[in-house]
Amino acid sequence: MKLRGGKFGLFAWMCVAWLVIVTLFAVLAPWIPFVDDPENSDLSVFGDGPSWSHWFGVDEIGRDVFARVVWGARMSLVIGFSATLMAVIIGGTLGLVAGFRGGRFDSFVAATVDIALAVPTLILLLFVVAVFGRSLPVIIFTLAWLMVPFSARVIRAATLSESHREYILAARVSGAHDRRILRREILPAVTPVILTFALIVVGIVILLEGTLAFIGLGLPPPTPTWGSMISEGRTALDDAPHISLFPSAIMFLTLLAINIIGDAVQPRSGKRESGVI
Amino acid sequence: MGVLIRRRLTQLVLVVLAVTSATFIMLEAIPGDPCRQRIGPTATPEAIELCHEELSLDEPLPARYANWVGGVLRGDFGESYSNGISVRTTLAQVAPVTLQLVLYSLVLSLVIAVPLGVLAAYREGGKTDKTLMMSAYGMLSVPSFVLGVVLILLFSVHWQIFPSVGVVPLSENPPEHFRSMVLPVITLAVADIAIYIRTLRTEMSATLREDFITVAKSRGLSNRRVLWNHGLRASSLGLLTFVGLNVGRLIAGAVVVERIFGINGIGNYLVNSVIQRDYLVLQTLVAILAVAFVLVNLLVDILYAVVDPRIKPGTQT
Repeated sequence: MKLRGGKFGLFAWMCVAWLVIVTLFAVLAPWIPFVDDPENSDLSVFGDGPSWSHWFGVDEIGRDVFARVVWGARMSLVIGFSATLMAVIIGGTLGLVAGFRGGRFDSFVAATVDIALAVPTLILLLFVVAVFGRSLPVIIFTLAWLMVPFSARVIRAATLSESHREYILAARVSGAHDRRILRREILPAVTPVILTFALIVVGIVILLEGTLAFIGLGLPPPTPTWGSMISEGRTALDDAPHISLFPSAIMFLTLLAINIIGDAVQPRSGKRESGVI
Repeated sequence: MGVLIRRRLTQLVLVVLAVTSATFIMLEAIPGDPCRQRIGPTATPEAIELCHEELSLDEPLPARYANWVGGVLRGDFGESYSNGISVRTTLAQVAPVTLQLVLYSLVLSLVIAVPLGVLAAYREGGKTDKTLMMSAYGMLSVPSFVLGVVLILLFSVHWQIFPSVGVVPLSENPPEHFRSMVLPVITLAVADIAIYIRTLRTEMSATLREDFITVAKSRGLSNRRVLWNHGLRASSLGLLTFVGLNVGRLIAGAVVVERIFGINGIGNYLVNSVIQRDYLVLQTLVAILAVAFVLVNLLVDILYAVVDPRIKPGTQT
């Protein structure tokens, strides 16, 4: 699996820089002196546009939009990374074993994945949230669970194409047992696919969480999330558009950066992209 | 062909069974009683029991499941727990606008994406291609709710060209209907345009390297004819599959778009049933949407085999 040499240009590095900045702000939010308390409201300035004391302006009830965007990034990243990690570990294991072993287990996994992917993700997400409530663990587990079949499918495909190559045969002939081949030969070979894929999943999860929050079924207020900020700002679009626009722009740039990096590091292979984007 | 259809129908049955039984069991697991919610805090035990009987909540789970599935098969989707209106009646009211929304944006995205995808493939590696691919990335990265909000800000708040809330029914006033549909349809279509451009470009650039294209060119056919008659026809299959798979995205997208623009369609009905914990409605809608998605993809597979007789149906997953 060769990376597209030379294609990782200036633009892709700018995207990496952006993600690093967002991550640093998100991680360090409680300790950065110029990031206010996201729930602290100052009613004397409500609805004000950007200024020196409030870089992204102030929302309808006097909370600093910049601080809320930073704390919202914290939520997005926590949800994005933890859900992706779970999905890739569970789905990846299933996909690796199914793709390598083949046989009945493989048919079973493939069929289950087909069925699971047949239901629109957002619809399932809405359903689970309706049943189990709108808490952080529920949202993370549900998103992870929704991404498992998708992960299993992609990683299974990568494993499948790898397990029929000569070097695997060579390893087998020289007496390596299954578990060793899986760990020492196949896993390193599919790791680039898994990492690229994980990055894309982080993007999808952040988007789904944002959508859920926008619909009004994400984390309950006053927790700041990008989706809920954009949604709340809609009522003030005519005289305070900055309340919606700043979180919108930050979210767009973050997803764009993830997509561009994901494309730039995509392992070079003639295969088509999978059906889910 | 028979094999394919049988396979897909089996899948359809499995999907429906899996989705409905999973939703049924999960709904059992939640605390809270729809009757208590319906009657309110003043509910007496007798009233609740009566309500349970009315909604047949006192029957055992398997019996209720069988009842519900039987009802759905006969076209009787049951009644809403919260207001007693039958799901079928509400669905008949809300479905048309959602179907219009999905259909218009499907047409719009294809009308825009097909020529651009062909152009990108024709100019592969060139400036046009690169610009198109970059814009496709941009379009893919805008969440639909962000796009919707920006469009409302520009076209409703700032320039006041298009309305930001609601849709005028087609039968009432066709010109106004289309005017009120402009922003929702664009919001829904943009990501799909990007996906279709990229898919078609990949397909086309592979097709354009094939021998029959070289043959067509050497026969002296014009570029235009080679591209549209030979190239596009061969590449449309891949696009078709994507259109089918994309229906799931469209359904989810419709939920968001209806929320942004305050349209009373299936999406809003769904979200409201979540908010009101109207489980019967929720369950029915989830099942209907899952079935619709699998059916569309079955249709795509059949079309696939019709368009290209070389494809042996049922051999691919």
